[in-house]
Amino acid sequence: MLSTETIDGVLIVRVEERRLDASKAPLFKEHVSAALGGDVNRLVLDLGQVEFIDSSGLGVIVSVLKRLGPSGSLAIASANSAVRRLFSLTRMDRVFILYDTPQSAIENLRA
Amino acid sequence: MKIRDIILVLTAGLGLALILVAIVLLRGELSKLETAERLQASNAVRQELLVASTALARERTKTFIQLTTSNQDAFDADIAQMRADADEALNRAGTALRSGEALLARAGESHARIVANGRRLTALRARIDRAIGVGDEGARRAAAAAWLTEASALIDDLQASRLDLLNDNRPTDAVLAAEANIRAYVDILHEAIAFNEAIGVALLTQGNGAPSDTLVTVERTVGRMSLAWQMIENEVDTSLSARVRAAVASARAHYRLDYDPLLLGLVDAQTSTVLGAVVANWEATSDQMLDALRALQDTLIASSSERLELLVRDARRSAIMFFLIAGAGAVAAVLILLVVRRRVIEPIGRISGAMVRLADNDLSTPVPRARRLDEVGVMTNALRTFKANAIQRQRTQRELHAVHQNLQRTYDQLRHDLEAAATIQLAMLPAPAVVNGISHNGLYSPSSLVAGDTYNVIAQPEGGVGFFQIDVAGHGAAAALVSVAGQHTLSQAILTRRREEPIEEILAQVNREWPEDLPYFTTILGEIDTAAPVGRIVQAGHPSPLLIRSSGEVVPLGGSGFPVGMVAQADYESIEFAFRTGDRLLIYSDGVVETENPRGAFYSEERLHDFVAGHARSVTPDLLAFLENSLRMWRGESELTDDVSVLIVERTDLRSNHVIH
Repeated sequence: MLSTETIDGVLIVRVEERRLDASKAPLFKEHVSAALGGDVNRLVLDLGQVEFIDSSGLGVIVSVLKRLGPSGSLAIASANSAVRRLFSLTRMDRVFILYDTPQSAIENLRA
Repeated sequence: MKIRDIILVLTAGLGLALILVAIVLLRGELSKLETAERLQASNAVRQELLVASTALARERTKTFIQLTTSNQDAFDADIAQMRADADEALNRAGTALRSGEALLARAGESHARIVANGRRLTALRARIDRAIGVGDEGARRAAAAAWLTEASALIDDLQASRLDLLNDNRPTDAVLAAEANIRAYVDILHEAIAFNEAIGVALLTQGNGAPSDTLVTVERTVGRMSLAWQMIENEVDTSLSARVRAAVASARAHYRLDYDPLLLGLVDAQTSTVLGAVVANWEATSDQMLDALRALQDTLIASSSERLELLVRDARRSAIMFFLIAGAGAVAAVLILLVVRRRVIEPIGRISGAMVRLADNDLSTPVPRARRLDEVGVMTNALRTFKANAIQRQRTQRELHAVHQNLQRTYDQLRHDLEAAATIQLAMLPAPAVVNGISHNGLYSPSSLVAGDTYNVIAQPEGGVGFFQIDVAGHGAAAALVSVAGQHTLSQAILTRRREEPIEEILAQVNREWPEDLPYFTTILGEIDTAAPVGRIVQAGHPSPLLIRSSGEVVPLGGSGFPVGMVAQADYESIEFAFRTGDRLLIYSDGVVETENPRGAFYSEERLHDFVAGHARSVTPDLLAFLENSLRMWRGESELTDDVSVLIVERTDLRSNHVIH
């Protein structure tokens, strides 16, 4: 479902699903919670493989952000146009910053 | 054919075969025994016949000698004794023949001949008794010659009877056969010597006056005797007992050393002057020779009898043994049958019966308890285990069935509750109507019984018509409950709205107060001014509604907005738009554009826009029906994965205009 990697204190979560919808959302939430663990507060969500996110999927991403708390930061990388459209429709592009690549997301989070 | 029948047939067949073999062998032994007994009987009869012919030969020879050499006018006491001996021997032979009739074929015939011969003998004796009294030399000699011939004929007859009996029952045993042959030759020898004794005396006493044929007869007899000895020696070999061989050798030596030289001298002695001494010597030597032969006969008879006794005893023992074997075979067959029946057939029958009943699910069938360690015991144990398992399985099935029934009841209850909830949820949706000149109509397809989608259209107390469509994140019962809460909240907010309060403020307040642990929802909250040709909407994460102008132009309204319940500090703004008579606003949930065809392609905003533009002239109920049909066609066989709802509001009448004009 997902793979993780930590680079320079930034946790990169690569979502390995084509759809992040109501049927996947609860399990995805568990996996991300497990990956977050202790004091991680900078996270890049790599959506390179994701083609579609529905409202449940969006709910999970927002819940991850809430979990990181006020000091934490969540960046979205490699979102496709459909996902970007959902983010813009719901103005989540104002809450998370969207990057074209995980690398650029990591660089910005590190800075 | 059942296994029990096969086993029974095989066992019985085996037993029968065993008994049959034993019976066949027993029959062979019985036949051997019968043969041996017949040989024994034949042997006994022949022995008596031999005694009789020997006695008769002695009487004949001595009677002839007395008739020839004596001048007495009556026979002396020796002769009377010999006659008594001969009669007794004949009687005994007759009795033996009579008792042997059961076993020996020609015994009856021989008996008749002996009786007839007895009568002939009596007649012959009477004749010579008369002749001896006459005293005439010539008459006596004639009577003596006749006696010799007639008596010899009787002896021949007895010998013939004996040979018949021997030929009828020739022993197969080599020793017995040899002994029987030797006995026959010895008998011939005995008769020849006895006859010769008589003839020899006649030859000596008549001197040169004797007829020449007498000499010829003597010579022929000598030839017969040589032949007989030759035959006897041919029969003697190492298979005979030492006693028999010794007896033969002794008689042979006696013949060669004493009798033969005297016989050769007999012819020369005719001219001798010391006649009395020569005759006496001849008689004595002949009698000694005869005694020697009789001793040989006795030895042979004793040897044969012993051997026959042995054979009979052996045959009897074998017969008894085979009888016992046949009996033991029969008993064994019966025992095998009983054991097989008790140990194999009956238990297998019980087990197969129990198996058939168990296979019919009759679990009350008693299964016999295994008391054995063999295959039948293993089968019985396996069957008991099978039965125990079957009972356990049946119990488990019953329990499972009960659990299943409980589940079914619970499911039915839950489904019933959900159906009730669905009915309620459906009832909460406003029926198509016209409110203050604003008509509304909707399309509503939950992906399950209840939906996270809902909408409402409300006449505001201060004028104007408020409306909204809600899509709670997720779907199913939880989303449905939240949608009810959302509907209630927004409906109440519209109904209790202060006059100047903008709708974006209403939404911002709901957003602020929305419990954090509830799912968020997207919505379009809007109002149509009944006094002016305008409408306003606030977009909160919901797809942009389509404004369908009465001209047929289709314009999407808005662009973006925070969903409700996601970001507490969110700000909302309203969009105002011209909304004249005949203008329609189509509000839809994302389930519409995210309807997938079987290949996974979305219906999409573009397709919806084009479809609505293509049907912009259709009246609202038709437009909704066409859209529903288009979505169903797009979906094909696949299930709805998200709730689908559409709300259309339309201005049918602008009241303020009427007031103005």
